[in-house]
Amino acid sequence: MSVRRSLLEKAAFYAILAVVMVMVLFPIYWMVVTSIKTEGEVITKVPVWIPSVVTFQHYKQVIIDMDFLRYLLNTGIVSVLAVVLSLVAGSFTAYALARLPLPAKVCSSFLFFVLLIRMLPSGAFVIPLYLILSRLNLINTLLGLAIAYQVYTLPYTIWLMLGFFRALPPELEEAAMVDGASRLTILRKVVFPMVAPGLVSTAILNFIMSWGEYLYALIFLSSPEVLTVSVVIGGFITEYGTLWGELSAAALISSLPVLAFSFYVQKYIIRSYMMISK
Amino acid sequence: MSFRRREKLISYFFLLPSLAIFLLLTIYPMAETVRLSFYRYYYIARRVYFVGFKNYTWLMKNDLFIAAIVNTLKFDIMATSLQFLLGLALALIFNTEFRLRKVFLPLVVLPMLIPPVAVCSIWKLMLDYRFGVINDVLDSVGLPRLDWLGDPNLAMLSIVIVDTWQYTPFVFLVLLAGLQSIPRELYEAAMVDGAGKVARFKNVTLPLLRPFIMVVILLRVIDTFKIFTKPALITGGGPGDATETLTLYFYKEAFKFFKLGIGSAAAVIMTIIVGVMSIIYLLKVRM
Repeated sequence: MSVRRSLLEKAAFYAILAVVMVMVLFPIYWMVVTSIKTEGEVITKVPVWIPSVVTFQHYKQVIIDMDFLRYLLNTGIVSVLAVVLSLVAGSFTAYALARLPLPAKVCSSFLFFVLLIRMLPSGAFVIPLYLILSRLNLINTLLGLAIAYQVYTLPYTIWLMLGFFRALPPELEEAAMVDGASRLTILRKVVFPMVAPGLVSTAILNFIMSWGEYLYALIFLSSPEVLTVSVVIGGFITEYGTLWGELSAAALISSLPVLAFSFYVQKYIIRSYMMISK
Repeated sequence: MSFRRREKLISYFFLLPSLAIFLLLTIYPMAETVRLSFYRYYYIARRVYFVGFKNYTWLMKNDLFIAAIVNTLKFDIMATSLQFLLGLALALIFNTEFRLRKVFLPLVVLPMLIPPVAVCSIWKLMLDYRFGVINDVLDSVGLPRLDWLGDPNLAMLSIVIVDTWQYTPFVFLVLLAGLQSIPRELYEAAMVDGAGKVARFKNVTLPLLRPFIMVVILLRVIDTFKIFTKPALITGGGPGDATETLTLYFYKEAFKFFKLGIGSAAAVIMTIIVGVMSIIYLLKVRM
């Protein structure tokens, strides 16, 4: 009796799991097949689940005619710049907040302030930010956008790195200090090597965020040679919304660099999110 | 210089870069946004007039702005609750051992990694009235085709569905981390005491998951409030004002029509709403 019930339960469990996986994966599958279908098969009344002919026409159009590689490169530059800026500024700050003898009041108010920035709508900053960047001649540049992204990435970096630093056993630093090592040597030789996985997960999270960001990129970039993939695809959707094949190819290409992180994300990011929630 | 003083100096030195960035990129702009909201700012003519609270009263009488507030709150509540419920269900599924779990786990996370713009293009295609695969499926099982993006009663729901598809994995990840932090012995003890499945969920899982639930709901409430990309690209705020959201409204006023004063006033109101919501939420959680 109990065996039969558990079998039934098992069947129900796998049925639910199957439905969930289809709902999660089907849109991605549909993007992939739409990008390799011929124009005729995209707009049939009865959906073509598996394309009868595979064409790379759309990819050729996107990569060669649209000059998509340049936009990928732009997006990569902005994202790497934003990530590096945040890691450099944020990890030292997080270390100071986690370990150095700051008054408790300074620490808690600084952290509260960082959290506040994470919560506020981007509209609260963006108009003056636009005016500042244009005064500095940084509007319409990749560096300017990477600087603007610090509004998103720096608070995140500080919170995440704070968790990683706090998780380190303080005895190691104390031992090194007894041996007469200076703070900077300890940081370089002991602390940073040990939080390397934390630095990597923080970098990846910020990279994903910068790679997909749309609003700031749309506001701060305007000339064709500096656009990011999000702005290009966004423009494509509103102007040529029915060129589904090209659109899907562009969407897929823009997703590939971040999809590659998937395995890493589920494995390590869980830990970082656990830290945020503490 | 004494050791303690040097340490203190180093720590302030470490805080400095972040502080400088925050000062330049957030504190000053925030103050400036408040100031600008009291001016009519003609960007192209570079003329500025002080108008007091006129931008605010103009906004409060503006139907589109009021619709944007209502829509944003509606979207926020619908999307957050749906994402929470589905994310919790998904986390409970993945908190059990089953074959293929290791294969499926990284796959479930995929939607939250895809650039939001790419997500918009996939779903705009799938939800299309004539060529969309969702309507094709409805058709083939004998149901009427739905105008997902053109019907004012459905358009917001469509945006909710798209956002839910993308960000349920985020809720899932946080809640799964929470579930896995619950020690197994507690369940065993509850079982020894004769607690059934429901009782174990109510008396062991939920209380221990509570901090994770609170954080993830807060983050989703805040982030869904900022929704921009999806309505901007999938519906453009339409049909009519059905999917006009606050950030979309703000973007149009400030950067399409260059009404920086009105845009700033809208941003201030947005900030106040978020602030009040977060404070109420945080106070409630504390109690």
